[in-house]
Amino acid sequence: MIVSCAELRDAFRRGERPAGADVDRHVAECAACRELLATPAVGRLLSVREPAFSLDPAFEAQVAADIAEERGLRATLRSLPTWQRVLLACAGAALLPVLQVWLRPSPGRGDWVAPFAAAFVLACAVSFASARATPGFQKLGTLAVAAGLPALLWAVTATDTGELASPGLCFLYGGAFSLPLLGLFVLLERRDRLGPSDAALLGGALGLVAASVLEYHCASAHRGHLLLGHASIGWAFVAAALGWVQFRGARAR
Amino acid sequence: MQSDEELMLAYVRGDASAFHELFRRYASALLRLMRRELSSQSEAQDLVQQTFLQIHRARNDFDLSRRLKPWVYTIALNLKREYLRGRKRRPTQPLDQSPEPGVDAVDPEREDRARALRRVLSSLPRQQREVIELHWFDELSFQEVGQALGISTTAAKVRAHRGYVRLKEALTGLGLGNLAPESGIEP
Repeated sequence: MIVSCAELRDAFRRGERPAGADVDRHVAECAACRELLATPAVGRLLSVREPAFSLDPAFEAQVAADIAEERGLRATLRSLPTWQRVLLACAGAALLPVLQVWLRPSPGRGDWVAPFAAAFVLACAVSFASARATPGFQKLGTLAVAAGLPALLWAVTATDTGELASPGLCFLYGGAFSLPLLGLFVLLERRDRLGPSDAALLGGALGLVAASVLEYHCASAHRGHLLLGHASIGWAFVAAALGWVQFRGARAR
Repeated sequence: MQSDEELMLAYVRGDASAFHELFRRYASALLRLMRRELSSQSEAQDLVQQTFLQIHRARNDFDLSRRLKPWVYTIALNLKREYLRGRKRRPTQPLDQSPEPGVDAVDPEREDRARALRRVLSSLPRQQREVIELHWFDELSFQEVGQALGISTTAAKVRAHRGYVRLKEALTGLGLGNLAPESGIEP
């Protein structure tokens, strides 16, 4: 009795032509199997067995050796569940604005730190989930939030009044202040080779931390200053991350 | 015999022999998955090696109430996609080439059939091809295919349906639309 697509597939692979009331009931609800039954040539074509690939006997030993080498702090951190790695990244990221306030109390009020923190958690959660099948549009959407949120908030709420005070200084300050977090990301990341979208997400996350630090460092409400000196750090980190992935890819080729 | 999930549970609890059994169950299938788009045995083997390393690193993420197979395939497919994207070139067609060391010897007729299969499958968009390959060659149910690709079961079936329609067109284009069992392409 055929009640599933897999059973119908298996019947085809055995060289049978599935038929009967149970098949009719199944295909009435399953467009894929209906198409398959309507075109048996497709089923027969797909029933061709792929060549078998034999494994090098040394291969298992090689994989086992790789795994045996997974020791130390980095291996421990990498093997933590994703939610714990995200939590650690958040703790590391939170330290930086706190350090900024402690080291150098300044007129910034941290108005937008909460939404930046939320976007940071999202970016880390998506990027760190290497064992999940995250659709590309979700990654792109998260990247748009991570890299675009500071610019959007500041573009909408800032003013054009006052003086455009040296955005380059804030850019350098925020970028340098958030850079140590990159070390924590490296410790927490499981993959040896990151894809462009995941690398860009981590770049965007670093930019959000820089934006949060600058929220306490600088009280400027000038739109140009905030976009050029604060929001652009995230874009620079995203560009650097993509450049790094490209460079590594070119070197591997 | 222990199920894959029981073995994974044993492995998460520290039983190294469970990992060896999982390796024996999955390594060949994963190698075949990689070889579909990679012409080089060593590249494919490298990706399989990385897949097992990722399984090891992500072992604490595995939800023991779920099936292991789609989870393993998710990791393998993520790695393969990232690798192919990094190389910035179209996937090669290993079955159109002479077999390399590591490919079991096959008779010429079987090679012809496999080549025809590869030719028509490669005409499909990646999303449809992936679903069909996972369902037919890797023997995942559509539910498992959906889990492995991060889409719903319905979306997996829709992709398969569209893929079958395109395969039919491709077969017709190749003059194989009325393929009969005696035509040489059969189970």
